[in-house]
Amino acid sequence: MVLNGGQAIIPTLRMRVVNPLALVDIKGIPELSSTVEVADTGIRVGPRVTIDRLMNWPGIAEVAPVLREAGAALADAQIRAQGTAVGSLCWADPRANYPVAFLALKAVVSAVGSKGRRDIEIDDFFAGYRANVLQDELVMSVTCPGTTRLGFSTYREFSRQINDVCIVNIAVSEVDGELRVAVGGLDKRPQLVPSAAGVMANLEEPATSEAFMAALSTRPVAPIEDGQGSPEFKLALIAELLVEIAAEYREAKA
Amino acid sequence: MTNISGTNNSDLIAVQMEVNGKTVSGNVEGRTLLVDFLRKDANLRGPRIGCEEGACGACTVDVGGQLTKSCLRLAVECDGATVRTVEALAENGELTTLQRAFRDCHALQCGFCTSGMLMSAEALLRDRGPEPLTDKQIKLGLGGNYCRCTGYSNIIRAIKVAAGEAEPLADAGDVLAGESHVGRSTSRKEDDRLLRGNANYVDNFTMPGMLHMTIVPSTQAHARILNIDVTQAKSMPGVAAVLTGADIAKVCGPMSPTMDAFGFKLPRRMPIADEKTIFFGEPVALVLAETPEIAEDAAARVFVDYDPLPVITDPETSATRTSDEPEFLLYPEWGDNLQTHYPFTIGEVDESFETAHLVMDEVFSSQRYSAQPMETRGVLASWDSDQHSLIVRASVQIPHQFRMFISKTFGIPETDIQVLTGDIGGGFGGKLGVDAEYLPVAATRILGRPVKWIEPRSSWTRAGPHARDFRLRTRGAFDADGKLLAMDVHVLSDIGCDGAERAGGLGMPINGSVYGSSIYDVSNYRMLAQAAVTNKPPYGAYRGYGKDIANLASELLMERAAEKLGINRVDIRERNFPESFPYRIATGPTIEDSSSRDCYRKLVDKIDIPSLEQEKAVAQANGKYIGYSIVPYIEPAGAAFPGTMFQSYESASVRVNSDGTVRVFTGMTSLGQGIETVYAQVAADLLGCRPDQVRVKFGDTNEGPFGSGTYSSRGAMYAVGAIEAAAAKILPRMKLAASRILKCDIGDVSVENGVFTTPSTNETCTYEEVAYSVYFQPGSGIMLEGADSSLLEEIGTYLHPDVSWEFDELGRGQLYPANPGGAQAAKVEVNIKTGRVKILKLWLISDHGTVLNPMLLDGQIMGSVMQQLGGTMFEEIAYDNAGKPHTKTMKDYGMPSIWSTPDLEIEHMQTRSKATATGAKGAGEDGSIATTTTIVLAVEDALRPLGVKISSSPLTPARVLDLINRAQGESKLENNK
Ligand code: FES
Ligand code: FES
Repeated sequence: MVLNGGQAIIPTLRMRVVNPLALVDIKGIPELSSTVEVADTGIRVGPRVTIDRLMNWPGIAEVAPVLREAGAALADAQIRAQGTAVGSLCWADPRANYPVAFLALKAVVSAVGSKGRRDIEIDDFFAGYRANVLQDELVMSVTCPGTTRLGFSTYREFSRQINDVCIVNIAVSEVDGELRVAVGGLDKRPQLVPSAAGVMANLEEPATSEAFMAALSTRPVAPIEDGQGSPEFKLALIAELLVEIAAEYREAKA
Repeated sequence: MTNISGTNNSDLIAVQMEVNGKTVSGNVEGRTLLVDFLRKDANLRGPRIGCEEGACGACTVDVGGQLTKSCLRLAVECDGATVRTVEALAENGELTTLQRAFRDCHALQCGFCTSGMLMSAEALLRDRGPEPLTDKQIKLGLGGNYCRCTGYSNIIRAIKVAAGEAEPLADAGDVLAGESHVGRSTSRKEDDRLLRGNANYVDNFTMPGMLHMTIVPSTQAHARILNIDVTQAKSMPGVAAVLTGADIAKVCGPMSPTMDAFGFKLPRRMPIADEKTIFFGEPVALVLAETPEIAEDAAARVFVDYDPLPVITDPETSATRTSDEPEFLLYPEWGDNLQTHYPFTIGEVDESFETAHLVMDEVFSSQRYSAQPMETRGVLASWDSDQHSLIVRASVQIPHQFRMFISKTFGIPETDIQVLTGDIGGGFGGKLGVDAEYLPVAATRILGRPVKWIEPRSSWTRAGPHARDFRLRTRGAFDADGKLLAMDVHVLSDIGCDGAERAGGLGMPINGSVYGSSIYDVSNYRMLAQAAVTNKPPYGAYRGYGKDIANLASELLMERAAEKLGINRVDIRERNFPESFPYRIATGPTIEDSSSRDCYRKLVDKIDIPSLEQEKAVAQANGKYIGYSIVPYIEPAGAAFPGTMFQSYESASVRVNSDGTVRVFTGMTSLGQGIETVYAQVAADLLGCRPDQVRVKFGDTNEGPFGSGTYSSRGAMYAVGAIEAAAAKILPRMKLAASRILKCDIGDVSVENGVFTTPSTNETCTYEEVAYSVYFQPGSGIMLEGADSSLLEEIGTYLHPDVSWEFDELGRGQLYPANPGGAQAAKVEVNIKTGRVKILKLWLISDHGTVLNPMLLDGQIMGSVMQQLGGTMFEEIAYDNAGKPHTKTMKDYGMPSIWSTPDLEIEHMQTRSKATATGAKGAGEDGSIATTTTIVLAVEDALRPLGVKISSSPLTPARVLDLINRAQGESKLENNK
């Protein structure tokens, strides 16, 4: 098992939820970058980039605000200083912040393992609750589309208290002129919801919670059980957050 | 303690760090956490363990310029790093600006969270921009640090003070001649050590040869234990012993009850499951090992075979079981599942209900939650068979009773037992019970080596004392004018496996129904308090202690009857206040004065109801839902129950030392209330010295007389009264000696701030001179000749005159001598699309008689409000039908963070108590009493257009939204008819 920032893994080890044979600390590997490149060709996030660093990296707030907002809402100052964005992605908890953010951004995960290097489309990255498709591989970078291809983006979540583990979260991003809406907290893995994106993108019709509810109800649900409410309740929350985001989107487009 | 499993952990790895400027090296296991390295190898006390789940932030340190929770880093990861901890702050011995700001804003109570808070605050101040700090920035910076005591607002203020953007709260400057120390907002004496990370919590102590104890918890809520296989665990290197119920039974009998009174049934159980388990998490075996890590490893290799029994989780069905179904009785010998069934009736209840104009019938149920102090339970016990001496250091609120309980449970003479309590990292009633605390005592008794047990947070949540979890049904008969004619209150609590033997929560349903009429005048009254056992952890005391239930019982009736009758909600309360005070409520206790009503009237003026109504109307017009509520409350204080640990007296020993310093030893324990400061203020006034001359000591059963400890908001009455009694005897002796030095008549001696004077000659002498003359030069034979005693030392005791254990023919007495009163109000906004409740504003006016230290009293109020806000909104320990808890971690639990800090305005009235010398009444629980009521009623007010009634907590978005949807569904149905 790989130890990067360790902010999610160490407590699970301590609670003996997972019992790995070995834990490999990758922090010393020089090839694993702790920098971000923001360029026309792509935004490349190194696996060692902490959440704090990514949030505050020059250009991020302007080009991909979703990456900053997802960080600001994540846990607390201590964890933002130690935990990494790529770690949050790989942890793949359906309520974690960066899985939905990278999903909305149509990122590509490049990984390296004994069988060589490969690029994984983010849409194919998640394998289940806290599971990803990596097989004895390390993530070398996560690359989002370049600055010229990105438009509107944002992150929202709903939690009992600010910065608590959220009940649901949403990341929205415009890539190559197409809106992508990613939703977490509902299913075992974060989901893209094209039907909701369709409602939001349609500036002709008002994007009401009813419209979003209708769009959301067309999709299958494999709910996670976290004691925070029924799937219907979570759908209602998602619809409300989408209404807020849609208003912002309209304003951005106006 | 590290609890990461692993097979190859025995290989030690050498690590070296620069910690606070010193090189520290050690050999650690791969899994050793940074916090453990800092505490063990670097020998630091500041970084603390509050959860080890990465939630609480008590372990926060700085590694290489980055803030980190040191329970979320492995020591090996930090090899070569530079680490700073709270100990590095006061570099040259002086407290930093930030530390002083914490002290002068009373931003710490128990101090357990403080090391971590300071580190986060320091980073925040370091990294801030040039603009003034906003509350939001502060919350972003401190969101990862939980504090259970303060309610955060003083922490926010302290950070602003440190940034030069606000004024401290403490009174600065010296006390002028003729002024008293009581009544001043004096900064706390205890803070210096707490701010430096130097406090003496039990986990800070070690002993040579010490073993670490880990509890193997039951994984079945109710089951017969068929077999416990300890062979694997026992054979692991470093394991000294694995003990089961059979071993413990050789030295330990049934637990000595905390309450053996009022006909409460007692389970008579051992502190460890013997033949059967009665709740998930109950200890079934103990592992004693050289390190906590080994103990945890071995605990995972203890295998228990269970034969499951029917599990009882629902108190309502539990309450109906009889001896006809012994398999559904938790303790078949009881004949039912009710630890208490406590009915009382007075007046014409049935008749009143039959003839009433309006009958209200309301219900409210609360989820299970608990005190959750930042420091869990912990014990370090050592038995010396040669000396026949047992020394027990423990985080308990009642050291003297604990000594007595140990003596009874183990058959060890009390003289041979010493109980020590140092700084306690919060209690709130949660450390009044005693059960697992016996186990380290048993282990040291068996093994003859010191044994330490520090409870993991998960265990506190799973097996520590739980509270609330009640079902309230309250009925009220009203006439057409809204006058309450009769009440009928039924409280049923889910007390888990016990509320009177290993824990002390049984009084909560009783208080909830005895005080159900609050301050209202109603003479026809019926109540029934029931405590039903289930297969859950015990029911322990928690701040509020049923007064929260009582407040709901009357206020739900008032509010909802007002709506039904079309009476203004203030008017209906006014119509039901007693005509005069003292007022004896139907169940017996006397409310001594009108302070609660007066606070209510004052608060009605303060919150400006017309403008609130206007705000509400404007909001509604804009599709928003704002509501408010305002209720009075009473805080029965100073519990004194015969036959229980809640005793009716307190002691103090006071001594003037030869150097003129004063030592006050109190039977109270220090959980963060500030007793070292307040009692010094009091003693200084009483003895004519300065507070800085006075040192308040506590928490050592060998040092002072038997004392009753900390509970039920009693200190300001009982402890202060005892100090008063002792000081009253010592002061004349000091004056006599001074008169001999000043060569004047004793009647001409006056004393203030440590200096004796006589106006006739204007001669002076100091406390030190007088004391030295008594002890040594020439000595008391001359200086105190003719005095009542030749010592400058006295034991004082205090019995509250208003306690009455003489029960009348109906069984009515007065077990709480004082009833400080107050009123609370709330303004909330509800989002009807998401069910989110936003608390916009809270107000509280209270009357505790003379205020001894306003800053500290407000601290207690803010803290209690925040705790009850957490319980009303988020906190929960949820169970499934098999009696297994869903709630595992502090995050699951829903501890309120700094983000939930309410905007709270506090004011005081000061109606002097006639029963105490200072005029003070008890204080400490205000916010725990009416916060739930005010939030619930304000939410209902906001949702009045939809007709939503709230009948349970917590007010999670899911629950509130569900109520809204149902109400809307119903109104749609209505419209379609
Ligand atoms: S002990 Fe580290 S966060 Fe609680
Ligand atoms: S002072 Fe913060 S937890 Fe006690």
